[in-house]
Amino acid sequence: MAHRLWAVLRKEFLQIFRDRRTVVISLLIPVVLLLLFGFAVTFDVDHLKLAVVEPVKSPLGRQVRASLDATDTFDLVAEPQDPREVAWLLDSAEVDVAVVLPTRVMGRVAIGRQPKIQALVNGSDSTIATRAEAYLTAAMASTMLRLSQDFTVAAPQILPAGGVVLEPRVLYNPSLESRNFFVPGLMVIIIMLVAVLVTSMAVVRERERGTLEQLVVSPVRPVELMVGKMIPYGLITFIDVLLVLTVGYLVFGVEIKGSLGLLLGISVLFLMGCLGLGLFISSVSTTQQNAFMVSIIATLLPTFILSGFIFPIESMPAPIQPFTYLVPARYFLIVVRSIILKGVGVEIFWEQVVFMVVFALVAVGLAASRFKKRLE
Amino acid sequence: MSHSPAIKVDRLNKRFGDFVAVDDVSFEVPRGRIVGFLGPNGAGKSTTIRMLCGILPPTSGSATVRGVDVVKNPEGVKQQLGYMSQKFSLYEDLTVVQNINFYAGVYRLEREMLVARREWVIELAGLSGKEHMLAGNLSVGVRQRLALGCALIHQPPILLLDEPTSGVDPTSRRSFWDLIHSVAQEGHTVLVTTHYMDEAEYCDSLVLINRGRIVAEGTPEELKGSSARGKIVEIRCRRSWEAADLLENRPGVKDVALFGAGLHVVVDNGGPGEEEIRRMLEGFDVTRIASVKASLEDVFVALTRGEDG
Repeated sequence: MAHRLWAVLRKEFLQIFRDRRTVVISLLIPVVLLLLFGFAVTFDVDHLKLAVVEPVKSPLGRQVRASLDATDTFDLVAEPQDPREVAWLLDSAEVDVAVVLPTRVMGRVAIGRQPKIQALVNGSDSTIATRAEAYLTAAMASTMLRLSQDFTVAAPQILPAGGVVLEPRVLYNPSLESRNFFVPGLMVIIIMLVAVLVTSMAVVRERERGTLEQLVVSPVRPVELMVGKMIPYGLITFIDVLLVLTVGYLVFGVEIKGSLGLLLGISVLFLMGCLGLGLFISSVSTTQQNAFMVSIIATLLPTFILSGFIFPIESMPAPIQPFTYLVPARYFLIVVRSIILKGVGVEIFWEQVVFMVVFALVAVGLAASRFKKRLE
Repeated sequence: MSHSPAIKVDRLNKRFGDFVAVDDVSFEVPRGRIVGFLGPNGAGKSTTIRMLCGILPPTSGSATVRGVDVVKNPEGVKQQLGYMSQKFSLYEDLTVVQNINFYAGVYRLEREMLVARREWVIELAGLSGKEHMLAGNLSVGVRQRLALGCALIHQPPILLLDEPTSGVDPTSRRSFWDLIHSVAQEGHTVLVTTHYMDEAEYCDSLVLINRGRIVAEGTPEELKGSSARGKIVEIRCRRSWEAADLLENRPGVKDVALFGAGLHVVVDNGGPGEEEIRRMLEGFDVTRIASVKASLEDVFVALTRGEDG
């Protein structure tokens, strides 16, 4: 057993080192993907193009303009005098948000009435619209607060003095940067993609070249061949994990709050499942192209949509939610976010680890049964 | 034990759904012989070989390799066999030595044994001084010899060759057969499938299979003598395919086959003579007409045609 496993291992390593291109690709792709997506995928909304319409200049208008323009969220790009220009600006996407101040706004404030300010938001991108609205409301509130200090006598009703004031404190990701939330998720997706993709070539390549036939008639046992292929690819993808964590830290400033050892240990568990899945795909595919396609479809799509990477699972329609349990990245995603962002230990997410053990066992078991069928 | 045949196949059957790939096949391969397993593509040769390798369970019947049952002990069978197919099964991205080492490891050769066998394989393949070349850079003929060497790394008593020479140029084929003969001299038993008739002549004995059934067995000489059942007339003329159609249904003509640039016509004893045939083919410019000895191909064509009817 040991002798044959050793022969397979040595052969696999020799082939991997001979094929430098694959080594480079499998180490480079995760880094490139992480950089690409890390910079591109962000839900933080900023630099929205703003128009402020003010038919008659007023101190309030100045305040509003100043407070909105001061943030990164809005860039003041137009100040038309005529409210009718707003429609065109929004239609042509010259601006995303338009704030329209009524004429005689100060007059209303002076007599103690709430001024009515209109905000027009391009709602075709609902993410932008929601964020813009929230930012606008917040900015207006603070403007009004400042104004009310200037006009306390004149405008007592603008802000109720005895009202409840909410003081939110955000834990784990205090700056609410979506990047902190996304980069760990990206790591999970990238690792899964690469691990499955690289191993999915392992068996089908031998079938295409005809060497599998020779192995089938030799005394090599399925388990020896499988383990012999899993170890080298496991090593490569483990290096990928380290690379991705390093880039996440150096480039995106994502620190690991919890235990690195625990994170790496659970990564190995996740990798085992991925390698099993990759080998399973490889052993049922007839060509490398075929295996490539199946790997992409099996990993990327469900992971993106159903793992909770982008859409929170709790917000999915109830009939969809059970399907997310079939997406192994779901569990690893929770673990990775828990360790990296919250710094909590296994006592918090042990259920996820149990699911991951099940995934690893099922994937490796499936691969093994296919190997047996193919080889015996 | 010592007198038992190297391979004994007894009423072997293999069905894939409704398709009968191997139909009640029985034959024996005596030790130290080269036995050719002949048949057209899809006749059931490879299926039989796969069952002998212990990798495909038969539907019914039995087969033993040096007394080891392929169904009951497929792992035991694997140690007895060397196997090589037309795909050559070398890792093209590994060197000559790395390929040999790998197969030696798979068959668990001890260290000293490995060194000795490695030398032997390199010699066999004529690769001294090229040990560190990539297998993918070797010529097809050399690669084929190296593959044979790797298949023999564990000194198996029996060598199964599945169309080992398809896609190889005639010179390499010829020298490969010399190699097979020298391997047989060393005491290995060889079962080789082929559809090249000239190669069949190199075998000690032949088993002809068509549509999953054995249609004839014997030495090449026996087959040529027994199966012709008539006289073979070789004809060279123009538009030979039209001539074949013309002759096909004449009384006394058993079979017509295109053969190289001409025709081979099998006539019954007492059927039309050469002059009569020449008259039938008036207008075809017959340049040659003569009785010839049956070749294996004639036998083969006659036997497989018979099965068609």
